[in-house]
Amino acid sequence: MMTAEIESMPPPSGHAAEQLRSAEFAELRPRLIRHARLLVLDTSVAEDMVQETLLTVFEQRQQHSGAANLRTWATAILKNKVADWYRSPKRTRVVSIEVDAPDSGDPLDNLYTAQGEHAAPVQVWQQPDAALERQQLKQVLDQCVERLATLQATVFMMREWLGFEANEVALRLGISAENCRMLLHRSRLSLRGCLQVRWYGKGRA
Amino acid sequence: MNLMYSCKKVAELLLLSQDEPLGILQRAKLKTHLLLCGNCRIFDAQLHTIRDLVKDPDLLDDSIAEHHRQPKK
Repeated sequence: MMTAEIESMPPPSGHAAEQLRSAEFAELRPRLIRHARLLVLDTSVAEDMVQETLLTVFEQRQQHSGAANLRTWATAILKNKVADWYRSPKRTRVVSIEVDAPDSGDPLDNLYTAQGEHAAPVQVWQQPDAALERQQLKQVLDQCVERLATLQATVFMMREWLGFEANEVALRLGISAENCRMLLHRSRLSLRGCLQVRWYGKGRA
Repeated sequence: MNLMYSCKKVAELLLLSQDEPLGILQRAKLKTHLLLCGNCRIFDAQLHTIRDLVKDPDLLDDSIAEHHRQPKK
């Protein structure tokens, strides 16, 4: 009788929201893994951090039930973990540094004439108004970051996603400031070219 | 001293300025060039677009949440 009563009770008001949350939770891991792998060159360390992040999210999700989006919150936790790891004095610096071939030339050379003028007019990038379209644009950018050379992607993500200053990126990775500058320069140019081709080149501008 | 930067030099400095402060003279010359050069202004805006897209952590989440809240009919 008790059971019947309970079963006939309307679901709690937060039911729909809770369902959405569990769906989000399921897709959280691959997303966090992608980010962590870009930032931390050692895959097992990256996966450990994601595991710890998910554990924290799981343990504390009750306190956060009304708080901002699960994904935003989990991403913030991961960010802190990665930043702490890079700043930890105990971290053994076994970053395998693969340096870009120095003779591969400045990618700027392809965009400008020998006189230093634009080789072609630069296209205005219109920002999409629709939320869904903005989301797609962000996904394309994520794919572009993943297509960067490994160290370029790491340097770019440490700078832009973790928010480290350029000199700290160099320090934490154990590369020279000059090398770091070159990697940032190249990553930004590559991303610009990638977005131009894969998003704006498709009649969206 | 050359008073005007080339567009390529401007691109170089715009890229650098994303990560490091420029000198006062560099900034002044850059500003002058940008005032006169539409292509370089667009290039600058593109670099900022990339930064904004990465920096905006809620973009994806909000749009998805909104998508779920207002299912298409």
